[in-house]
Amino acid sequence: MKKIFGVTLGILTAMGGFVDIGDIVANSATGARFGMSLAWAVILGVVGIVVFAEMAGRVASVSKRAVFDVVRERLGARVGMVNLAASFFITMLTLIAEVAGVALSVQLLTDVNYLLWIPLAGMLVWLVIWRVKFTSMETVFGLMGLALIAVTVAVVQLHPSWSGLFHQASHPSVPSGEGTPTYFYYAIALFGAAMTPYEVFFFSSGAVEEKWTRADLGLNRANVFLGFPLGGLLSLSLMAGSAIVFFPRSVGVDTLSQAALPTTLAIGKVGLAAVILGFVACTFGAALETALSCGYTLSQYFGWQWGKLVAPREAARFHLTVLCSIVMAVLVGVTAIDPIKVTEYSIVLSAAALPLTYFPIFVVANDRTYMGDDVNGGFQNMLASAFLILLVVVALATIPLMIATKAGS
Amino acid sequence: MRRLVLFILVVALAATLVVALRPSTPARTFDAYELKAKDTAESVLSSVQTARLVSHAATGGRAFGPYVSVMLSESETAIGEASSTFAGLQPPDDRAGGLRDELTRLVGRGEELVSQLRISARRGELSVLQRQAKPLARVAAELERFTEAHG
Repeated sequence: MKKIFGVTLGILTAMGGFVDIGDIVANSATGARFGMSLAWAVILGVVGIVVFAEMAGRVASVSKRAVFDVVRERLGARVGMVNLAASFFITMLTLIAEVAGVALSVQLLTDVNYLLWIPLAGMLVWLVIWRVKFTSMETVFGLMGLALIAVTVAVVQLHPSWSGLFHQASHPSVPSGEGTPTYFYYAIALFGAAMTPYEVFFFSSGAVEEKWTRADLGLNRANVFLGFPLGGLLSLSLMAGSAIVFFPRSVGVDTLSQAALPTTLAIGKVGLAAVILGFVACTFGAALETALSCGYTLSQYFGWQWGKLVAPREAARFHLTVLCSIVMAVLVGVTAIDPIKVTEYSIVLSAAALPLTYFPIFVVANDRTYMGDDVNGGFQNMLASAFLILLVVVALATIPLMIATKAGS
Repeated sequence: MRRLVLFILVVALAATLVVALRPSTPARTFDAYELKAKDTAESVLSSVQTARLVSHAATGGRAFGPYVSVMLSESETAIGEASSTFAGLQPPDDRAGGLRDELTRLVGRGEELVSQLRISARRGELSVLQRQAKPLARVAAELERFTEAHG
């Protein structure tokens, strides 16, 4: 039983990190607009995050050092600071979107305007971080997020033409009426959403918080190989549901409520309840991760004492950063800024910052001084190198594509 | 000096993004106006179809009242936003004016019907939604024809 609950860090990371409001909306929107022809971008993102999250977890377990600790050392103070500024900004944007996402999810059940729920959502996020044990937090929100499996069940219940869906996915093409730049802009959005840097900040810092050692490398692999592919499956299910229901009817998806409609049509009220529970768990989980990641990145860069498990008196600056980040997210959220737009920008902009996060992990994962015999293998290095090249290409293409397509509009 | 250059570059990039990502630009020719009309029709069609789907789910007892109400309210808002953005565009010639009249009539009809659905949903009258949504099928078909004719 202990081993089963041991993989909940990966499940929470996947539920809150992989399947967050950005993924829910991005996958539903691309399914509605491009059918399954962008499924490859999700699969590519899953492989990428598996490769680098495994590395980050291994580095954390063996060297006891989390990602931003390594970033600062390997990139130097100046480049590290650029990375910190970019990562903190993107993580903050994501936190704003996630807190609003929790409120939007609750709105679906209450019909009370989401702006009224935002302060409550922010307060609950802070309370959970302040009072709830790390392992309880992982278990509760990771397992609650599993309610989103209803989305996968719904795809089966909709009785789609499987060969048609598979054909769309295996023969990717730009649908008529869509431009090639827009197609690749959305591919980058899906890839960026899958490989969002805060996922590895949280995962590696969580491994340090849970005091993982070499003995936990198996647990690290189990977390990564179970959690992220599960997140990928749910993302593809969201995309497939949209491809079945919305794509033939020329419906565009740009709200969270629409993402729940295919499941509602297929399963009814039970499915709708499960999806909303899943949305709450995933967005709340992501809000916890991003709020903690704000504290982790800043504290690790400046060498402050950090950790949710460390008494607030001993890690005052870490806890203050987390609290201020949440307050900021609430204040920005209640201005009625469109949370879906914030998410879209955050996932696309995060794609531009990916190499700066993943390159230092790659370097340290090959350093025998830190890793001893647990350095990367040949196949892993080959795969990681290919991804690093891809990350650089994606980073260079992001802003021009954003401008050329008017952010995919 | 290097810091100043970096600062200028960041500000220039931010300014480029703000200008380039502006959602609405004026339409100075008929072709540009027609493209915007088509985009508006597509956006409204999307909201109309969403309203039809959720009405179907509601009458079949497959969705909770608050969820139906939120979705219909969002559809109504989306149609209203698309309509007001399009209404703010100056038609460059008489031909564009005709296009404007045609689309405005369609969008207005769609907005009115979705608004009625939202009112019924808020009153908890979910069982009548599918019947009330029937005229939306015609609006959707006309919007589809419009987008095909001006695509």
